[in-house]
Amino acid sequence: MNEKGLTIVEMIIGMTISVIILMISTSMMVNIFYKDTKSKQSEILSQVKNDLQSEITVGVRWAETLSFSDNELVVDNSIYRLNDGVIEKNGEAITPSSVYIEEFEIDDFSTTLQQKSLRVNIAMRHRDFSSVSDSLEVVVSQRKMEIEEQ
Amino acid sequence: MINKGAVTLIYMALVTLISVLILTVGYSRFMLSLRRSEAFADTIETSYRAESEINNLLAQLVGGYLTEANFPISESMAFGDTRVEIEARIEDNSQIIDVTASRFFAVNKIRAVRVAYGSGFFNDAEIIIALDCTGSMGNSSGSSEGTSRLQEQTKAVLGFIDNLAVSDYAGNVRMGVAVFGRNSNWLRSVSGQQVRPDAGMTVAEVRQAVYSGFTYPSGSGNLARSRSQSICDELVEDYTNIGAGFNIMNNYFENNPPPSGNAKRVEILISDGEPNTYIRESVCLNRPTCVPCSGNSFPLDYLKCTLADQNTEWTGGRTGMRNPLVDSYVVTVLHNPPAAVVSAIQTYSTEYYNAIYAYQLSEILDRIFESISTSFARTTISRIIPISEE
Repeated sequence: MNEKGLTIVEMIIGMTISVIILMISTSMMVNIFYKDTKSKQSEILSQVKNDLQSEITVGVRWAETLSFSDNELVVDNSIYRLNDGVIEKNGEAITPSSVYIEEFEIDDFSTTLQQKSLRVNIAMRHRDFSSVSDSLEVVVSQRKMEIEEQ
Repeated sequence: MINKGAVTLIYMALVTLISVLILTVGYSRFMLSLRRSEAFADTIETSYRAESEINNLLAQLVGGYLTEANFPISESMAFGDTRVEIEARIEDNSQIIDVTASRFFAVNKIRAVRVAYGSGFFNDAEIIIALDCTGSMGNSSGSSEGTSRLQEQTKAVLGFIDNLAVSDYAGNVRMGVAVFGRNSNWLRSVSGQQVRPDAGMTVAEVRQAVYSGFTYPSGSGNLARSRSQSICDELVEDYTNIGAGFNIMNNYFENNPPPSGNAKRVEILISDGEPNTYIRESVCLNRPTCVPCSGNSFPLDYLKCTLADQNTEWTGGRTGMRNPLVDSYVVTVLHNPPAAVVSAIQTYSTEYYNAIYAYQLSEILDRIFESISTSFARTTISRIIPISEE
């Protein structure tokens, strides 16, 4: 009978090892989940950045008319505007509410009047994880859509 | 003893299941993220590949390496994973080239439409000539025949109209003749009709109007020597406001649609003097807002703003008034051309000629006629896919 039981020393050693393993594994899990969450938010920002880059560069490149002012870019009939941390296109949000757009700046980089070149600078962060941020800076030029040869 | 290890097995199975689930979710997310990045990269790659190919084809067309004999074209090629399809055909007098670049996650299609004019493709044209009606036109032309500048101008314009009349394009051209001095006006026919391109006059009728307006007595066969002998006196005041000559032509082209979408529009202005005056109505439309110009340099500024096209800045932040689709040919008769005037005209006109003596005007107008009627082409490039949002 004596051989079937555990001594108190064995139990203490067993519990200590269990606690240590639990603490290490919990810490690792928390770390993994934190990093996972952060990477998810970064991915969202990265996707928003890519979407905005595609949308704006394709639009500007083939635009017939272009104009811009503070926080606003007008490409033909489409008006892109920064409103309360969200970029809207003709009044409809094109960035998710989880992403806060901090800056939507446009500068004129044109060297000719015929084709405009714009530098678009967009800074963004996650609304709930302010440490997760990203930015997009792109220079895009209108294409020459009419060419005359003599 | 049989049950020994059962809990361990269940525990191990659960841990394995949970691990597999976590790995699956992680992998799915990783794959999704990868695919999104690929889609973005594909968009950029197809966009640039399509543009590159269409530019390559246009360069070959312009350089003569690709001719109409090569049409229709139907080719496909691959650059790595990018597939490029080229479809080119001729419709009416247009060469239409479609280039489609596609990858796994993106397609980009660009179309170039090249319309050739001249050499049998000279569809419709509108030509306006603005003639100098100032007093200095009565001075000697420098010719051994003893003609005046006004007489040489009339001879040159009649020659230009005669060239047009015997050309294949006579029936396709709408012609107008304006005159300018301090102000500007349309030439009038004997019946008082304004010689505007939209007046419905034939080339022969336009010639008749010039002939009767610039002969003395009218219709006599003797070319008028001076403004007082010609119709000039009735139509405009003396002194030189070259901008007024451009302005009447700009106004016409701005307010009247072209006879067809492919019509060539040309303005020709002849002057023997420096701009030295202006009138209250001489206002530079300093796009986008209209601000009157003033100051001593105004006559020259007015010339610049009326001659420069709407895409060209003639002074800080102000663009010109001429429709960029209208070609502007300017001819001056200046023995010692002033640098500021020459520089302005050379900068803002399509082509500029200076005749040291007025008797050279006929030869210059012949060259302009040749330049206008020589073939040229206009290419319009547009994006078909992704579809533009209206």
